[in-house]
Amino acid sequence: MVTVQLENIKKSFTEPVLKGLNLSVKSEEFMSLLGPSGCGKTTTLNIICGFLKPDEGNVYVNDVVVNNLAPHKRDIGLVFQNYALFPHMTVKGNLAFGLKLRKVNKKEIEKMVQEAMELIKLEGKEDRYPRELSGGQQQRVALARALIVKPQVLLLDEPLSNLDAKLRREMRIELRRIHKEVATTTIYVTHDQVEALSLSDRVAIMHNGEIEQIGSPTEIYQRPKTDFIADFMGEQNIISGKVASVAEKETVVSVGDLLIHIPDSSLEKGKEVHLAFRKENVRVNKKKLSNVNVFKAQVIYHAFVGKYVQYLLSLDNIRILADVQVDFATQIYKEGDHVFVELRSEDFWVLQ
Amino acid sequence: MKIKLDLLKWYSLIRFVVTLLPLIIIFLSAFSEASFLSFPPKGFSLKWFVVALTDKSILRSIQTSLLLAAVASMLSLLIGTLASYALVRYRFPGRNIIDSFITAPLTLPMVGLGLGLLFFFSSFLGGLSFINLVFGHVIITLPYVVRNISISLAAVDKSLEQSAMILGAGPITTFYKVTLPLIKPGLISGTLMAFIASFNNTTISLFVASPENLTFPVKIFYFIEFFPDPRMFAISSFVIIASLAIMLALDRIFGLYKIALR
Amino acid sequence: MKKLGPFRLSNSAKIIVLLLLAVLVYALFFLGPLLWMFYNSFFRWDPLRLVDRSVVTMENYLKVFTHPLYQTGVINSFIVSTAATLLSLVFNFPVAYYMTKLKSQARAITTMIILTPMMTLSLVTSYAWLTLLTPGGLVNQFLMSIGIISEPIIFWGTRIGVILVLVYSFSPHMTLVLNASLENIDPNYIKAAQILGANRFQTFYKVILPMSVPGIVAGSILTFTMCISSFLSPYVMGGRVVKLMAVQVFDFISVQLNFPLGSAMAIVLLSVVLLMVYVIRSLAEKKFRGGT
Ligand SMILES: Nc1ncnc2c1ncn2[C@@H]1O[C@H](COP(=O)(O)OP(=O)(O)OP(=O)(O)O)[C@@H](O)[C@H]1O
Ligand SMILES: [Mg+2]
Repeated sequence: MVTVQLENIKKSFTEPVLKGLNLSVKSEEFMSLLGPSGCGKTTTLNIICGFLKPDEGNVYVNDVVVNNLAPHKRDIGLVFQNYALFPHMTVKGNLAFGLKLRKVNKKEIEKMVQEAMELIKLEGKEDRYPRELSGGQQQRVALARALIVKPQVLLLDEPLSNLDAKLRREMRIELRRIHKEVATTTIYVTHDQVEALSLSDRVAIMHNGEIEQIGSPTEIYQRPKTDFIADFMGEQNIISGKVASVAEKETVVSVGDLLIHIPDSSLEKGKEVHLAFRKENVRVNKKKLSNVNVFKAQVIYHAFVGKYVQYLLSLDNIRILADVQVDFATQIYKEGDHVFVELRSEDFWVLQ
Repeated sequence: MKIKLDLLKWYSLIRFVVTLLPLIIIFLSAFSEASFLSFPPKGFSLKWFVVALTDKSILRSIQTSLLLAAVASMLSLLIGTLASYALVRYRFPGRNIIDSFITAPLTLPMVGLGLGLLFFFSSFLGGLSFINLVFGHVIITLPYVVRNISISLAAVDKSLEQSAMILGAGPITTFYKVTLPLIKPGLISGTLMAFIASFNNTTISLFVASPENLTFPVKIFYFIEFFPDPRMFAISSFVIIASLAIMLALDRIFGLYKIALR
Repeated sequence: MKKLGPFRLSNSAKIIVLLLLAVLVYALFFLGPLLWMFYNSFFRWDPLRLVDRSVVTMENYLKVFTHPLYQTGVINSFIVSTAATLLSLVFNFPVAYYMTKLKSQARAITTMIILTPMMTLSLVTSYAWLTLLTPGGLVNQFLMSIGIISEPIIFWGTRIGVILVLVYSFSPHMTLVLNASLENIDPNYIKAAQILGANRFQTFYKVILPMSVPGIVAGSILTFTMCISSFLSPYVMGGRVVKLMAVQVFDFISVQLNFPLGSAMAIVLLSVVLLMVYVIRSLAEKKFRGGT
C-alpha cells in the first residue's frame, strides 16, 4: 500500500527546481530523500506539507489528492532541522499542542504525553522549557511532538545536522528504534549518505529536480546507476573504455591497453562505456597472483588513514584510488614502488 | 592614562547633569511663590499645584491627550501588526517602497505634515474632527509600532508557525497561539512608544486640533505664548514623572538601550 | 477519509488584506495631504477663497528663494542647523565613548538619562532653559562671576540661544547613533593597536576615531535633519525674531493664512530633508556593499 505519492511534480522559483518528480512511499516504510544541498529536498517536503503549491503535478496522501488541502488539514508530522519547538511552552505544552487541537480530552492527553516521554526516554522533564534541554533532547521532543498525533506520514528535514558526531550516531540508532516501535511511514531528508544508508528501507537519490535512482541502501551503494550517484556516494573509481568482445558470461572492455573482464553481457560490441569500481575493492599485491583483471601499477602517493592505507596508483595512464585494509603484518608500499592491482570481475559495474 | 579616563568620566557626569538640569528647574520652579517664572524660585509654596489641578481646561486637555494617545496607539497596534506581518513574512513587488513609506513620517518635518493635514482637512474629509486628529497621529505612531513588531516578528522563525500548522492549527489559531505570544514584547514596547509619541506630539496637534480637542501639549504651547506662569511647570512635573515611569517600565521589560535604537 | 478543504487564499490576496488598512491610512493622511500641498503650491493666494486656482505659477517658490525675509529664513535654518549639529557632535562624542565602557547596570541608567529630552515635552524643557538663560539668569550670573564675560549674553531671540536648545533637544539621537557605532568596533582592533605599541591617545586617533566615521556621518545627518525640521524649541527660544523656515511655515497659518506660499516653503523644507535621508540611505548602502 502506498502512503505518499508524488506525481510529476514541477516547481520553479526564479528557475526550475523540481522538474517532474515522481516518488511513491509505501506504508510503514522508512524512505530517505538523499541529494546535494540546494537540489530541492526541502522544496519537496514543503510541497508535501502544503506550504508550497506545486506548479504542476499531484500530491497524494493515502490515495487522496491533497493539492488544495491546507497544511493544517493534511495530518502530517514534521520535524525541522532547528527543531522549531515552541519556546513559550514547556515540553508538555509542545507535546499537547496537536492533541488539544484534535480535541483529545485532558486525561487522554496526560496519558499520551507520558507514553511519548517514555518513547523518547525523557521521563521527568515534562515541565522544562525547550531552552533548558540539550540539543539531542530537543531533537527527541520535536520527534515526539510530531509523532504524538499519530500522523499518516512523518517528514524529517535533516534532523540530525545540528548535532555533534557522537550524538548523531546515537540518534540514528534511536530513530531506527522509534520507527520500529511506531511504524509510521517516514520520509527522511538528508544530504549525508551515511545517514541515509544506515537508516532507510529505501533511498531515493535526487538530482536535477528528479529522482535519479531509488533502491535499497545496498543497491544504491553497490550499484549506483549514474556517474553522479557514484560520485555522490563516495569517492569511486570511474574509467572509460570500449566494449572489445561480448560472450555468454563475460564481456571484455578495453581501456587503453588494459583488458577488463566484466560479467555484464547486455552490452554491444564497440560501445563506449563507463566502468565504476569501489576503491575498497581494489587489492594491491607485490606479485601477480592471477591472470584475469590483474594490472601492473606504480604507487604515486600513499597516505595512512587509520585502519587503512589510501593509495593513488597509476595503471598506464589511468589513475585509480585504492583503500587497503592494513594490520601490522601488511606491507605498506611507498611512492614509486611497482605493484600489481587486482580486482574481481563482479566488482565492476557499468554506469548509464 | 588614568587621568585621561577620569577626565572623560567627569565630563560625562557633567553632561548628564546638564541633561537633567531642565527637569530639575521644572520641578523646583513648580514650588515657586511668584507668579512669573524664574530661577532660582522665589519662596516656597504648593499654590501652583493647586491652581494647575483645579484648572478645568488643563485637566480637560490632559483627558483629550490621553484619549487621543490611547486611540491612536491602539489603531496603530491593529494596523501595524497586520502590515508588519505582510512586510516580514512575504516578498512582493513594492515591498521596499511600502516599508520606507511607513517610516517616512518620522523623518519628514512635522510642520510640513501638519500644514499639509490642515490644508487637506479644510478641503476634504470634513474638517478638524477628533477622528481626523486621531489619524493625523496614527501617521506618526504607526512607524514605532511597525518597527518594533517587525523586529520581533523577524526573530520568530517561520518554522515555528509551520510546525503549528502542520500539527493542525489553522492560520488564525497559529497566529493566536504561537506568533502572538512570541512577539508580545515587540507589541508592548511598540504600543508604549506610540502612546508616548502621540501624547507628546505638539506640532501635528497645533495644526489640526480644533479648540474642542485641545491637547495637553497645545495647551502648554498657548500658556508659553500668552501667560507663562509656574502652573505650567507644576502640571508638567506630573506628566514628566508619568513618562519616566513608562520609560522605567520599558527598561525593566526589555532593556531601554535595545529599543532606543529602533 | 478526509474532506477536501476549499481553495486557500492565494498569497497575493493575503498580502493585500494585511496591508489594506495601512495603505489606506497612508494614502489618506500622509500622501494625500503632501500631494495636495504640492499641487496648491503652484497657485496664488486669494484672501477670500484661500487659493486662486485660475493661474499656474512658480512665484511662491521664487519668493521663498528671493524675498529677503524668506531668504533669511532659508539661510538661518542652514546656519543654525549646521552649528547645532557640529556642537552636538563635539559635546556628545565623549559621552557616547564613555558609555561603551560601562557595565550593563550603569549603561541602563545613563541611557535613561540621555533619553530624557526625547521623552519629555520639548516645549517645557526649552522653556526651562529659557528661564536659566535670561540676562539675569543662573547661566549668565555664573559666567560673569567667574569672569569669562563682563556683559550678560542675550540668548532669547538670538541664533546662539536657538542653537543651544537644538543641541539639547537632539542630543539623544546623536549620542545613541555614535554609541551604537562605537559599540560595534571589534575590541580586537584596539587590542591589536595596543600590542603594536600605540598608547591610548594614538589608539583613539588611529583606530577608534576613523572606525567611527560612519556613525559620525549618520549621526550628523540625522541631527541636521531633526534640527532643520524642528519648530518648537526654536520657537520658544527664538520667537519670531530668529527667522527659520520651520517657524515661517507655522507663521503662514497662524498669522497670514497664506496657504500656497506656506506650502511652497514646506515643500522646500521637505525636499531638503528628503535629500538628506536619501544621502543617509546611499551612504548606508555603500557601507553595506563595501563590506568594511
Ligand atoms: N522561496 C524561495 N524563493 C526562491 N528560491 C527558492 C526558494 N526556496 C528555495 N529556493 C531555491 O530552490 C532550490 C532548492 O532549495 P531547497 O531548499 O529545496 O534545497 P535543499 O535540497 O533542501 O537544500 P539543503 O540541503 O541545503 O537544505 C535552491 O536553489 C533555492 O535557492
Ligand atoms: Mg533543505
